[in-house]
Formats: sequence, structure tokens, C-alpha cells
Amino acid sequence: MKTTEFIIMILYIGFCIFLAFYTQRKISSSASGTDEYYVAGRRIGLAVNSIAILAALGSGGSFMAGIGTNFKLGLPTLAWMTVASICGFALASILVAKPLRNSGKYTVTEFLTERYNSRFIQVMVPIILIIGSGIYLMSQMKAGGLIASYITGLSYEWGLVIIALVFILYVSLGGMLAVTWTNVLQGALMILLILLIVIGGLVNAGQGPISFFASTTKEYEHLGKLGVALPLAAGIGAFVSWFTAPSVIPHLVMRVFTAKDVYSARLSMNIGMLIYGTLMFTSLIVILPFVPELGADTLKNTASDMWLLLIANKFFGPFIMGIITAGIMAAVMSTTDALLLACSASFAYDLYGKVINTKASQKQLLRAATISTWVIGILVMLITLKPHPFLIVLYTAAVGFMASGLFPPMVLGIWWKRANTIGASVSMVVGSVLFMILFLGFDMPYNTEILIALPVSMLTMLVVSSLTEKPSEETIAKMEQYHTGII
Amino acid sequence: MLNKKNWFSMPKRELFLLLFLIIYPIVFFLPWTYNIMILNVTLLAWGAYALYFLAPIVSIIVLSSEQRTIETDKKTNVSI
Repeated sequence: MKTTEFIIMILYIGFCIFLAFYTQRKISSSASGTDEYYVAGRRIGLAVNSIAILAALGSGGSFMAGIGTNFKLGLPTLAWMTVASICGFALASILVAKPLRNSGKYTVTEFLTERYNSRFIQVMVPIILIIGSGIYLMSQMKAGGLIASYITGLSYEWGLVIIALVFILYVSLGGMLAVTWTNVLQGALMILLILLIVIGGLVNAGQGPISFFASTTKEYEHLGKLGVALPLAAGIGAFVSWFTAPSVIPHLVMRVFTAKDVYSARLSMNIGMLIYGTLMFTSLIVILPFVPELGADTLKNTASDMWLLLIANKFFGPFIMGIITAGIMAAVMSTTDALLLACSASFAYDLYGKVINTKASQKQLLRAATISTWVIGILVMLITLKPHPFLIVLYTAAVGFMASGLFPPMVLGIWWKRANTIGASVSMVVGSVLFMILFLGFDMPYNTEILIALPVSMLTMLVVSSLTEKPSEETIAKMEQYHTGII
Repeated sequence: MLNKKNWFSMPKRELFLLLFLIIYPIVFFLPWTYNIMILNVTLLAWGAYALYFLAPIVSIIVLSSEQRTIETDKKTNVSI
């Protein structure tokens, strides 16, 4: 066991759990408990929301697995996958943020249900979100399990079980308020993590970072060339997945609902991404050249997701390593908690409160949220005991699935007055089912399923809506109000 | 389907930003970038790295100027 790292990690996790207990008491005593639990009272300011967005996106996949995956799969594909989410937030800030924030809703499902006034959509959207977020969650739990195993010396399986229980405990207690507060701490830790590793890299490089990078890319030609490890289509598929995802996937969209106003919501998305892009680019250029120095045996026998930690281990002693490990754990936790909360909101708020028990009291809703967090969390943990080899590929598939089913109904529903219930319903089914068929039934290159599923879903929505009845004037007037903000 | 009346209008600056976000990747995904190498890395990848900074900075500028316009309009309406 790595004792110093272990103590720092316990202190950090203990603080997160304390925060969850504290916020639970605050939520229980508040008259607007549901508002506090799901959207943190809608009063999160620009700076806090920006850091929380950085923390929700920056995950085990990007900060921990990024370096290893770049080395294995090549830079061009991963460069476009990373920039896609940065552009995706810019896209979401102009396409969906304003109407969503003006609507005063809690969840994506609630917004789409109102737009299309349909019981089918009310049930279908949470199902898509729970499946998609669940797959995404697996990748984060895998990262958590790997870190816990690295620190404690226990097996991956035991590391996973311990860390999953911690994640579930503090999300089930504190809801969005706890998630927001811990995300700020986590975002700050992530910035510190990258700063430390980059400084370590610069000190240990022995030459300028650019020439070190160039000599590595010269020696390992596969890094910089297109189509060596992955075909171009995989890069385009990854780009489309992450470009469209921030407009629909709930653990990112929820930051629009928590913002104090429209301007703050839109700006915080881009400020968060500017910080994210800077961290990702700097760490890539400085740290990637150290990968070959791990040695052929280590590269062969260790999961590529762990390489960053192994590199950092060469630079620092146990104390700094403890902070770095806590930073990586923060990246994992911040995405995991947001995802768990999104799953729980989809079940408890959208399915239980709006379909199964429409007369549920606030207490019953909060209890349903707690129970669903535990059930979904444990289920995902059990599946993650046998994980996919690449974190990034796995969660890109998850966001591709959600975007294929939900991007056309969301964006066309906001901008196209002709978008109607039947068009949205058929498009949702076609997009999500087609994606799953392609993902499970065909041996396609990584992340290319969306290149078929999304256009088909979009076309279906346009054609079916055009051929069927227009939505009511009342629905169109409501959307007009959400665009103008005059409600 | 494409009838203008059927769509909600978008402020011009935001429309240009939308076009930039769509056209920039298309331009870089075209074959001309594949074999241009900088530090042994294809220009295709460097195009993405430039966008790490360009996309959020351009968006912040557009959204801030949009907000300033809204606030100016509000003040003008009040004074009228």
C-alpha cells in the first residue's frame, strides 16, 4: 500500500462525504428541497459554474486515460475527439442554453415532454438517458477502480467496489448542491494536478518540450499520422459524438439549469472549455514524450489508462503523488457524481414523479432519488467488474447513443416550428435503436455508428414531422417565449 | 420544410459562430491536411489543437457582444 497517497486520498474523500452530509441537512430543512437537490437552487454564479462544467467534462477518461490513449490510438483522432466537446459546448451555448434556462425546468426530459406534450416521450427519454449515462458511468467507475487499486494495492475488483460505494454514498446524500460544491473543489484539484504534472515534465525533460515532443513523434511515427491506429471515419465519428452531446446529455446540460441566468449559463460553458482545452493541450505536449520511457515491459503489461500515473510517479515523491492521485480521483468523481445524479433524476424525477406516482410528495421524490442512485450505481459497478479495454472509446459510444436518439428532437424542437410529437418519437426510436444495432451487431470501426444513426434520425424527424400535423399554436408560442425570455 | 417562417430566428453573430463551428472542422477533415506534417504530426491534428482555443474564445466574444447589445437595447427602450 502507498501510505502517504492513501492518507491524502482518505482526507479528500472524507471531506466530500462530510460536504454531502452537510448539504443533505440543508436540503431537508429547505422549503424548496427539490430545487436544491436537482438544480442547486438555480443560483450558481459564472465562476463556480465554469469550474463545475470543467469538472463534469474532465473525467477519468480525459485526464487519466488521455495520455495513454493518445499514444496507442494516435494524435489526430484523439485531438478531434477532445476538441469536439469544446466545440460542443460552444454549440450548446448557442443552440439550447437560452431556451432551456428560460424554461425553468429541472431536466432534459421535462423540457422535451413539455415541447412535445407526449407520454411516450416522457418515458422514452429517461430510458435512453439511463442506458447512455449508465454506459458512460462504467468507464468512470473503471478509472476509479484502477486508482483505488493503485493506491491500496488491492485487486482492481476490490478497488472498484470500495470506490463505487463512496461515490454512491455522497451523491445519494447531497444531490446537486453537494455535486456542485464538490465539483468546484474537484475542478481546482484537476487544474492543480495538470499544473504539477506539467511542471514535473518540464523539469525532467532534459530538453525543450517542443523538441522532446518532436523527437518522440519522429521515433513513433504512428502518433502523428492519420489512419495508422484508427481510420479517419473513427475520428469523424468521435468528433460528431462529442460535438452534439453537450446539447443533450444530462450531466452536462444540468449546468444550464443550475446557472443563475441565461448569460451566465452560456458564458460559463465556454469559459469552462477554455480552461479544459488549455489543460489538455499543455499536458499532451509536455507529457506524451515520457510514455516510451516507461519501458516496453510496462507498456505491454499495464493498462494504458494507468500510464499517466506511472509517469508522474517517476517525477514526484509520495506527498505530491498523493495530491496528484487525489486530483485524478477528483476528475473521476466529478464526472461520476454528475452522471449518477443525472441517472437518478431521470428515474426519480422524470419516471417516478411524473409517470409512476404523480402525487408523490417532496419527501417521496427525494427518497426515490436516493434509492435509484444506489440501485443504478450498484448495477453499473457489477457490470464494470469486467470492463472495456479503452475508457475513452466506451464513453464516446455512450454519448453517441444518447446524441443519436436525442439531438434531433432537442435541437429541431427548439428551432423548427414544424417539429411535432410523432416526428420526435419516431426519430428518437430510430436514432437510439439503430445506434445500438450497429454497435452491438456489426464490427464497425470505433465510434462510427453515429455517422449513420444521427443523420438517419435527423432525416426521419424532418420527413415525419413534415408529413404529419403541425404542433399547436400554443406549443409554438411557448417556444417563442423561451427564445425571447419574455414569459 | 425549409420555409423561413417555420424556423425561429437566430441573432446574426450567433449564426456566424454556428457556421464557423461547422465549416472549420469540415475544411480540416478534407484530404489537403493529411500529409502536411508539423513536428511529425499531421495538420489535421494541429487544426484541432488550434480549435481548442479558438472555439471558446470566439464564442465568449460573440456571446459577450450579444449581451452588450441586449443591455444597450434595454437601456434605450427605458429612456424612450
